[in-house]
Amino acid sequence: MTGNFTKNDITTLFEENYEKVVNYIASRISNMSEAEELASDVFVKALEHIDGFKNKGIPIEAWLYKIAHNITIDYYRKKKYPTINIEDVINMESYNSTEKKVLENLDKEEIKIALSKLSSLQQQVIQLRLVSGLRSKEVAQIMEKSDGAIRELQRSGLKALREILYTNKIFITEDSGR
Amino acid sequence: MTNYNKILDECIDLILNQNYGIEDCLAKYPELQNELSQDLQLATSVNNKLKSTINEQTKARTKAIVLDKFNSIEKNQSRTLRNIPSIFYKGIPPLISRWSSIAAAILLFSTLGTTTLVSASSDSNPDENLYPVKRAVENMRLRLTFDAEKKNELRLGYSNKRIEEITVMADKGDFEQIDVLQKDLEKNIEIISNNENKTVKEKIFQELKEGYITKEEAEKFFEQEKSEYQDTNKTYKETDITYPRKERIMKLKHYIENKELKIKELCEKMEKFNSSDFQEKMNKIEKNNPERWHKMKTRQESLLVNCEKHIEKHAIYKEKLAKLMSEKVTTKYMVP
Repeated sequence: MTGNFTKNDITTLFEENYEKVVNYIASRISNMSEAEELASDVFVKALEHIDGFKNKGIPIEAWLYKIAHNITIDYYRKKKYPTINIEDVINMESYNSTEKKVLENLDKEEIKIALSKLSSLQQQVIQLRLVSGLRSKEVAQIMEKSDGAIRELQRSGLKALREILYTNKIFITEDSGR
Repeated sequence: MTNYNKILDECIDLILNQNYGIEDCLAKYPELQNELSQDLQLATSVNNKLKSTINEQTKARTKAIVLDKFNSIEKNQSRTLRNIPSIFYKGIPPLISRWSSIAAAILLFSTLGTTTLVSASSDSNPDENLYPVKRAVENMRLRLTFDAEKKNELRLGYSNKRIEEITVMADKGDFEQIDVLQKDLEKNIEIISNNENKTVKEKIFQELKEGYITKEEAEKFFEQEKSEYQDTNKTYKETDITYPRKERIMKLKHYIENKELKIKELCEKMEKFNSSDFQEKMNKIEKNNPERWHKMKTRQESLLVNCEKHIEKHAIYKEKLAKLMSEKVTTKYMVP
């Protein structure tokens, strides 16, 4: 036993959360393989400090995402890796002059860039809720806020995101507006 | 607003976790249709675009690292619990580590009874499911070998295996794997370099020299291959090879994935338009509100055109990727 956890507990924790943690980190940084590497750091760090986790009064999953959040912040703080520049993406993608709708293929990076312009709380809610697929209650535990506050951040975050995407004429959806 | 927030939250849950469509939610709350529709479209779009596919092999490796970490923490804890003064257990850790490896090996072989699994894994490549088993077995054998020379021979064998795997991965254009394998290989070379037995050392380096290729070299060969195509094949020069093969494969995969999402998003909507329920609804609108009907009809037609374009592009990209992947480049890497 490590802390109060058995090997089975750790395996279950890993299986249930690995994909969500990777997606959460990948929505904050631009490189998938680096996100997977950072996710590995999250689980290792969690194990290293598992004794300190006991009696914190929050579920272990919530604690895991807190670590993921901090590790991602450290990643940027150290500036170990360059952040993505939208112009670079456009240059890289526009290899074929006959490809007219280049922007269409940029949605992913552009959404990430638009997301980075939201307040940090809105960003975190959108990433945990919509990318990792956690429920509001779980997000509330991770962010130590009420369920109501999370729902409000979710609504205001989506509104702000839509405004940014529309202002930059990025949100090209053939089927938008019913 | 609080009420709207709750409804939005509920709908997001239903869509992300219970396979509801946006339309189902809008039908549930028709009075909030406009606002809800915009928010839900954006929410699903964020989910579709930012949710990435996990590399199962990386996941398996990470899992192995995590469980290994768990074991080592547990081991340290039980050692601390014994509360033996450090002077007495200074020499014990390697022994504990070795005995635990033996126990793990016995457990692995007895519980799985997996000679078949292990032998099946021995020819697996890094992009295959059994590959982590192959590496685990290698590590286990290394730990269970106590003779230094035999250990080095094992390392040499494993280094050669890494080289073979690099070649296979280069053939598939998977440079990320090459990078990982190269690091493993270099780690092996470093250990071998520290070997005191000169004969073993030289033998190992000679064998390594014959097959070893770095990621940079592999990329250089891709460049060469590109220029060769440009000299000999006009069609390639004009259309396909505009930048290195690796980039091209990566981008094509990205485009295909993107088109698949678009097709799912748009063309599935088309099916709804063709349903008898919708046709009936349209007939009613045509009678009551011709202007709205006209707008809806135009939108429907433009959707159909868009959908067809995406399907067409998807097929073109897939064809290009298949062509690119079928090209053999391995022999070029193996130039001594």
